[in-house]
Amino acid sequence: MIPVRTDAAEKEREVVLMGEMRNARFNMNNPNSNQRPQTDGNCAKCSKMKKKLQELDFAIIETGLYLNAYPESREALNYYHRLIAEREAVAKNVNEKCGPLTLWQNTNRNEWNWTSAPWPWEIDAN
Amino acid sequence: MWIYEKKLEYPVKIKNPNPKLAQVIISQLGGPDGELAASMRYLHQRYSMPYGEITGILTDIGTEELAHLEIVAAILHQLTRNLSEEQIKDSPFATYFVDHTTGLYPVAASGVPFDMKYVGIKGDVLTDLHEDLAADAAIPQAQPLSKDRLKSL
Repeated sequence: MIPVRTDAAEKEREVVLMGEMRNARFNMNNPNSNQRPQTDGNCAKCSKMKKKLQELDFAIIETGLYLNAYPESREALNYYHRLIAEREAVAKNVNEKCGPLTLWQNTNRNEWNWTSAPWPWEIDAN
Repeated sequence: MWIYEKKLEYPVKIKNPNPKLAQVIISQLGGPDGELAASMRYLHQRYSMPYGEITGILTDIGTEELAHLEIVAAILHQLTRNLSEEQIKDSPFATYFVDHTTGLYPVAASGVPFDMKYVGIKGDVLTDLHEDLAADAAIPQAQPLSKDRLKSL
């Protein structure tokens, strides 16, 4: 008889696997002991989207700093708003497809994935 | 208040771990000219500034320095991964490792832990802004002026 993978069996395997991973978290011999299972955050598309977000955010920071010192600059203000508009769209995409960007932006109603790997300083996140 | 965004301000991808380099770069974390000193300086000076523009600048730059702190931490984290005992023992990183292993503890390369004495805050706008100029090396500090260059100024 050919063994069939049922939903129930899959669910059970998942529970066991999650338990093992949680135990592995405190196992000093496991180099990834502080990481939970990864979300889709590392697929190539996410990497590209996150880089675009980093570029836009950097430009926004610099423009904002300039405006702090020269608040009367119409040109800088217009540039700021153009960047913000583009940034909003990219950030929304990154947030929904690659995992929440801030504690305030978890749009996933089925799973709390704020703490999932990778964190930004890990090599897989860059 | 601060909101943490789960991304680095600039990407960090270190292919080859290198404890020797980590021993030097740790100064950017907890040394006198490091990002922790910079963020503490700006974020604390902003409370006594007389003009909103200056408060804004100090707030935003201070916040950005915290982001830089995270980048330096990312660099150190990636430089010290997968190290063998031999690699650690034979590097200048060995003395840091004794007390902190591969955890991140803000110290200078000399081993002196981070100290607020690196930061000047006097509550006077001109004094504090001059402290900032000196700290950010607007006054040249990496390349001290030679006598010849001084004459030409």
